[in-house]
Amino acid sequence: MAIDSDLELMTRVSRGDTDSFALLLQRHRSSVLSYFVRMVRDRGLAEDLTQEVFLRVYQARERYQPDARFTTWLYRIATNIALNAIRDRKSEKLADAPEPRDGDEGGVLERTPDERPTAEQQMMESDRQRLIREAIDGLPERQKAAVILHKYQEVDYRQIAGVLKVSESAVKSLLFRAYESLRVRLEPLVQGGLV
Amino acid sequence: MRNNCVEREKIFALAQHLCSGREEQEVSAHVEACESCRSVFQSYQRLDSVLDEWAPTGEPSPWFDARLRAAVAAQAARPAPSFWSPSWSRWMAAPALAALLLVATVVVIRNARVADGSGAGSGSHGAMVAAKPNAGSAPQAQAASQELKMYQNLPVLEDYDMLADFDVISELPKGSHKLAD
Repeated sequence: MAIDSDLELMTRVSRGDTDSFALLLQRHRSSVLSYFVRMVRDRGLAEDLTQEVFLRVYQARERYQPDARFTTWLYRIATNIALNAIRDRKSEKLADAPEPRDGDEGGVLERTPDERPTAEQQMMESDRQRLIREAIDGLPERQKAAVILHKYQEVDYRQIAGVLKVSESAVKSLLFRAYESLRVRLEPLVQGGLV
Repeated sequence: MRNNCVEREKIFALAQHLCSGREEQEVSAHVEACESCRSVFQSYQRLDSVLDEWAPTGEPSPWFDARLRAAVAAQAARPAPSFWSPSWSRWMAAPALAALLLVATVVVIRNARVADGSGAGSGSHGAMVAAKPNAGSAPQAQAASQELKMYQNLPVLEDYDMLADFDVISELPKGSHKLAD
């Protein structure tokens, strides 16, 4: 039996076929979840956001236009949701942070560049993994999304262009700048130190 | 790297398989021949191996699938959207907010005129909005400040996600009814 393409399944979903939606969900839920786990680094939140992605896909089923790969559309929704979640968390942290005192270097943003690891992360991560996570977390959000899509989700750069709504050359440039930053930040690991 | 070396970005593209066919051949040939560029190429390969070590993924929690299916089933069971459903309010939120801002602006300008004593037909819009430093009129300065704030908030109209959740009554600034007095 031929395996139905995502586009065929989604076209059926748009006509009200819930079995096809269950198949799409089964096919893509793990990859979307792992994308969110890397993007927001909180498994509980990642599961909530994964649920939100599939609900939005379902809500938009009647407006779906099969003019791009299904995964491009799926990751576009996921990326928008992830970036919004990251921004929301940053604003919450800024609102909660104490006012900078006289003599403090930099503002709140400089003092809280990223979130503290969860207890689960601390148990599971080696020092090397922690350094890599912090280096990727320190990237500007679009560079971070591009690196995670390219490196870990194995999304083709042409497709990443569709996800981020930029040109293919802009994706190459985003990735290059991100890798240059990572090369500097992870220098000890790249040179073979910190085993 | 020497003057005739390829750009670093192209070496990166080669290491990450981002080159087009012809470009890949050219850059690859240069990297093979040039020790300095080969070293850069190898550093990108080592970085890629280092990044492979970050593997935070695991199995979703046991209730994840059940929760997801239940949420989708609940969504599927909902009735078709009506005229006043959220999708309609989403489209109507922007024009409604724009109309609200317009009305509020007119009220502020009229208040400024009354406080100014200039009445109808006096001066230009700029003259109505600008606060006179020696007039010493606090309400007038407050009205001008509120109008300025509204102009500064206009980009909010482009944020459709925010507008979808916009609740007109709860978002009205406290005491704004006084403007209409």
